[in-house]
Amino acid sequence: MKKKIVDLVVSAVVGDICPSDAILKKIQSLSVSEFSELRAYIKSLWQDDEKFHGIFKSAGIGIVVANMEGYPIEVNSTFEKMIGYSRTQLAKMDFYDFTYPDDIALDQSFFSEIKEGKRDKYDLEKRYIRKDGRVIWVHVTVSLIRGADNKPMWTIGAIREITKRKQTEEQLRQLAEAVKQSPATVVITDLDGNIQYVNPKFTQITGYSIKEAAGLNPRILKSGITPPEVYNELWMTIKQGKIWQGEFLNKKKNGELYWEAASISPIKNEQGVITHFVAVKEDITGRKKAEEVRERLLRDLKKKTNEVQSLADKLKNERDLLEIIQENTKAHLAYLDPDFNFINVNSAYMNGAHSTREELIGKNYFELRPNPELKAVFERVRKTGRAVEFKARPFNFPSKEGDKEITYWDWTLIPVKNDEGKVVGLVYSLLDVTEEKYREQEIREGNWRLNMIIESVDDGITVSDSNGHFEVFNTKMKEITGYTMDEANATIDFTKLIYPDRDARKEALRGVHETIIKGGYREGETTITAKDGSRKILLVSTSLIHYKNKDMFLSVYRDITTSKALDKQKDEFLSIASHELKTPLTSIKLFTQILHQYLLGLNDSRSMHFISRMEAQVDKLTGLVKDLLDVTRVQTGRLELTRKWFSINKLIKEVASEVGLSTGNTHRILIKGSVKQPIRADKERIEQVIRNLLDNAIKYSPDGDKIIVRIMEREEEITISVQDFGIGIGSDQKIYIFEQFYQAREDKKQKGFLGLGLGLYICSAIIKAHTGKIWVESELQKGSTFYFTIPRK
Amino acid sequence: MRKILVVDDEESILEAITLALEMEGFEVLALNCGKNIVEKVKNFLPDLIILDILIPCEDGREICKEIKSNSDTKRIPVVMISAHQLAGESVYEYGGDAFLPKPFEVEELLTTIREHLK
Repeated sequence: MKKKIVDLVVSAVVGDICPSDAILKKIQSLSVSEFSELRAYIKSLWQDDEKFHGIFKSAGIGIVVANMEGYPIEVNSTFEKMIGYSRTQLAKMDFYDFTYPDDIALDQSFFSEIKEGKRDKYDLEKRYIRKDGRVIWVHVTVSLIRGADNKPMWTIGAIREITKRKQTEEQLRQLAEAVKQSPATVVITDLDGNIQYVNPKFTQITGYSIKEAAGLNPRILKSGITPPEVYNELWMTIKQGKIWQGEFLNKKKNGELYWEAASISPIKNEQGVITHFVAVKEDITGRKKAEEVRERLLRDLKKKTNEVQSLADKLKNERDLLEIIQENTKAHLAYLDPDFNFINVNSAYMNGAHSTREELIGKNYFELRPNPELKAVFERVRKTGRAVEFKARPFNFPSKEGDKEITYWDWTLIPVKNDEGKVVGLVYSLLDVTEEKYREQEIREGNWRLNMIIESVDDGITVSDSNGHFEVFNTKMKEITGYTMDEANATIDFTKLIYPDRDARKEALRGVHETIIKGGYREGETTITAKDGSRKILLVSTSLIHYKNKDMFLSVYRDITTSKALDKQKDEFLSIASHELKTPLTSIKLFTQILHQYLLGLNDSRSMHFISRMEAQVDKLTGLVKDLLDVTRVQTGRLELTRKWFSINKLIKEVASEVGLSTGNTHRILIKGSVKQPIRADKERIEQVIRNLLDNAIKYSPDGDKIIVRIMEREEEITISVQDFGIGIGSDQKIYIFEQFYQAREDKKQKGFLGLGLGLYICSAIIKAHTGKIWVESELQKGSTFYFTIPRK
Repeated sequence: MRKILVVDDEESILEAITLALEMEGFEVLALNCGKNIVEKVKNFLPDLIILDILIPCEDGREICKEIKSNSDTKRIPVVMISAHQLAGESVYEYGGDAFLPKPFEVEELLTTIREHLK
């Protein structure tokens, strides 16, 4: 074992193997006995000259054999190369001739100790000055070689050049110092991130002392603001052996935040295994702040730049726009300087002035067109700085053909002012509004005409929307109601004013509603209360019209209060008159009949004849009074029906027989057809109709000899016709025969059929009251057929 | 002899009816007013009454009602006469037995009287 060590050491010292520090240390640590063994071994080698020299010469380290005076006796070639002197040169030299002066003293003291027998060996690091003057660092191990008598004979020095190592060491030292003095924080951690080293800067920045920091994890510095992904990325990077660079926002011991730019590198050993991490960090809080400020400034600047740019764009757009407007407007525009010289004109102006731009620009307006009045206006605008505007001003403007005609222009002169408010130019603008002017006049005249018509008609006219707001409310309407349109529109609901009675109002509104439903037209009577409290009866027709994009009601009101009153008076008169007539009629009738009886007893045939004539006339008069009363009833709506079941066949038979008797059976009355079932109607009234039609048929067919009555049945109604073969009715008359007081006038001349002309009117009213129909088919000179229908029930 | 009471404000009608009825053999009392009618009816005790609706002093229908609401007179038939057709239609509501619209014929009057004198 020991042998092995010695072999190793020797081969290291004298052999090819370059001895490591470890081996040198090993030599130093040899025990006395071991060293003796080594020494003996080397001695034996030494005596075995050939072997020794072989080794000596080719040794990887410089070997010097010196005598006890310190003069080299033998050197190997390695040393020669190391020191730059040849063996021969070295033979004449003292070691101290090429030892760096600073290192001589230490070496001398060690060597003295060897000479004095105080030590057998020493080693030190010292510097040599090479022949070329370069200083090299060497590690020298000097051993004493004793002779057989144990007398010191030589020293042997093993010299290894350590300049490189020394340099590295120096660099390391410098580096360590640099790290220590570094303005950057340096942190070295183990693989788990536990702090192994921090430099003073770390303490300065973080506030943690070196002691406090040792063994801590840098995560104590986390501010919580740097996102976790950053740390993840960091660890991934450095664990892969790569360098990570980035920025953290960290927290000092006192809680203050600071920005750090960090560069973290893995430290690998010789085998390339990561053993530590080193972080070099720089407090960039200031820089960050500066950066922020810079960025903010940049941002602001950019914003401002954008604003300016967009303003510029806008201005350009506006200028373009202005130009477009200027060139496309119908207005004639001229820009004049304060002396009224043209600065610019648009195309419309040039066309209007029949001039080119060149003919105008730079010329004075009033030199081209002398006009003292206009000049006065221009001067006033220039002086006051206030624009002047005329709407639709008539001009004698010369047309291209040169003839003058009156045209209308919107005329404006606008001063252009500088920042001080001084007038620096004038914009003169002319817009031809002739057509608009004429159109406006036409509309105004049209409106005037329409308005005149609306206002002068004798009917109330209103146009109102569905909310009851009036657009039109004419004078007559005001006269009728007593309210003006403003008053009508001022109230929430005008209908409440004119229909104070709730039911009447409801009825009126229902009418309006009906107008909408029934295709937009309605006619009817309504009674309103005027402002003065008087009640007025109005005939109103309402139409739905589309006006101003809305559905509106156009209503025309005719005040029929007076005519209604007159009608009523007439009805009342007729009613009273007919009643008053009845009383004398009654007594005349009774007395004539009594007289008739009396005369019958006397057998006075002459008087009998007279009394019969009187009786006939009394009957006629009775009939007329009855008719008048019926008409009154029809017109006042008091024609009431008393319905009962009866046989129409039987009724017709009876009436026909009676009429035949009363007319002296001049005509045969033929009854054709019949109905099986009885009907329900007002028997007396139906009798009246049949009698009337039969009387007429006989009356208007004086040359005829028969009348045909037909009874027809169809589903729920029956139809009865009375046909004569008489004079007939002209088609122009047909439509009037059912009207009151009508008479077939044509035949009046011939036959003098007199009557009040109420018969057919009453018949028509009776049939209509039964919801039936009545009509006539007739041909002149051939006869007429009157038809009427009544429902079975 | 059968007795008939006639009430009408119109003298000529009153006279004509009286004449016509006397010719037929009736005893007639003619009144131009319906005042104290029940008293008069009780005194005269007619077999039938002819009553005009429109008489100046009172509504004939009210007189009819009065007669019909008195136990002594209510069985006497009342024939009402009037120039007003509509007024006539309501006589039954007042207890009237018949209505004859004016103007009527002598024969119509006699037929109606005979009908109610059975």
